[in-house]
Amino acid sequence: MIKVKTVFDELETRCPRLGGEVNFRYCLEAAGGLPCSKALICWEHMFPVAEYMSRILTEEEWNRVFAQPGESRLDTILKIAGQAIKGTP
Amino acid sequence: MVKKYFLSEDQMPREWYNIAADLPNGMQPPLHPGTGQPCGPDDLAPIFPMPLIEQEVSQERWIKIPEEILDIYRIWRPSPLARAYGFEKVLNAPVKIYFKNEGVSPPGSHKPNTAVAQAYYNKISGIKRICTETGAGQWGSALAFACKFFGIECRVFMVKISFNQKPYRRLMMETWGATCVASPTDQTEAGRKILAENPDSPGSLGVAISEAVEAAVTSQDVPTRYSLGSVLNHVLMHQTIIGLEAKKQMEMAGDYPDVVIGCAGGGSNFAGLAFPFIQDKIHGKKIQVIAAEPSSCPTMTRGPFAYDFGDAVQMTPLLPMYTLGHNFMPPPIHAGGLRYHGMAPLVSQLIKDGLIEPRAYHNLETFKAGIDWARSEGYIPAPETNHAIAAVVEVARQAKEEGKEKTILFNWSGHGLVDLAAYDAYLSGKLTDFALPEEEIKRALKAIEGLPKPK
Repeated sequence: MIKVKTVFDELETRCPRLGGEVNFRYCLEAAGGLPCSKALICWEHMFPVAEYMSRILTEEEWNRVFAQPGESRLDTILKIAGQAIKGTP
Repeated sequence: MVKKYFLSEDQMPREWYNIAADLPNGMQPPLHPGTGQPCGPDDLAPIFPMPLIEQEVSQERWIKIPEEILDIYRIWRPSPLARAYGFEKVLNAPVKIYFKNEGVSPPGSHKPNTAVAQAYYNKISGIKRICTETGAGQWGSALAFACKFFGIECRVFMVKISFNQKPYRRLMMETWGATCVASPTDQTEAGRKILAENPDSPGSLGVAISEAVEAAVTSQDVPTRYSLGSVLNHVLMHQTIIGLEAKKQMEMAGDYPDVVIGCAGGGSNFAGLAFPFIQDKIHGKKIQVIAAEPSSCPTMTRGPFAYDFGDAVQMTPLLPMYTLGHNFMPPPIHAGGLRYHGMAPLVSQLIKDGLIEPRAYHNLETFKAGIDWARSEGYIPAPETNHAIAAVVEVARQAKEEGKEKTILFNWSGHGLVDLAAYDAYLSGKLTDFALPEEEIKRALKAIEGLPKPK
């Protein structure tokens, strides 16, 4: 991901997952250094976030973040538990 | 004029309602990714205690609430049902508004209804420690409270950005004796990996979940399990005490709702109020049931119901959820909603069955509704609760336009006294639904224009 400071960085919104206010910079790096998968919807009303993302992400990064259907919470928990028990988190 | 309807402690329901027994089209079980077979107790046993696993798959309509749980519930239950005369005046519409006040619990929300039950079932299963994650801390504080009353150690992985920004929920957890740590931590492999890449990582809910689950299933010294405050069937069932009480209280008021409303993030407070009324709807009552969600997190209002693969490489269990589809490359502007499969499968199923109507509300209209509420009813709602209040406003406006009288019941799921920073953001104009000025946007996009386009 190309990191560039813009006027968007300090914009704030309420994160429905955290239950608190966050700035755009947080959303940009919330998923292990990549954007939160919900960033497009959370920010679409403020500025053309999809265009912005398409400029800073590689195609592979875009696909990893936005193009895959997500997991349910139980999916995630079972996967993490399986990996942790095997010692491969 | 009666403002509040109270049940005596003797009138508190003795059973939870399990809607799985009444689903018109049954419920598809989660599937194991490797075999395609339903997940069995063995898959879940390292994570949850067996009584909760049994409840998760139970088809019994009524599940007895153990006395030990009722003893703790009595601290704040039965919760009051109140008539919102002040808000009715503000709306000036032909509606009667009742609200079930779940903000009276010690942690200030509906969450302890399941936290207490989960702590109890862990206790009788010999579990000594429970791990969980929390964002801003509503769930973590509820579990900390519950664990204290059953003598269980509680370890909460709180997302670091919230841990630093919002100390009050953390202090509540610590006051009740829990250990609250800022995730990512150096206590788990998942946390250490993140810290190695970025020592200043502000954390995320995903990382906190990884840490909590890992800490639970790899604990060698103390019998430990993981706890989740939403989404799962047993969590929703524990919350039905809200609706079961409300039904008795509506009877005391000599009324019955035309519309039942709850805000829905993971689905638990919505389900808690709505499921006992949906039981009536299944059996012929005419009720409109509305689940209000944030438009920034449109789990229910965008995306059709599908029996979908959980991930692109098909390695995770499969669950029936709302989704836009497996291996589907969406138009960019719609892509964000794809990965948030956060809604409870039971709620998803009831939407599919046409028994629940989901609606989405923008941040600003929810805070405006919350402020109007606080100024007419006194109580300051939690920001999530404001979504339900925004739905009440919309239903009242429609009733006025149609000239129809309506009785509305909604779940006032929690107070906002520990979330005043959100009100500060709204009142100071930081929180906005309005787009940046075009010129600002052009200038910012221009700043990255000269950079090489990533391949």
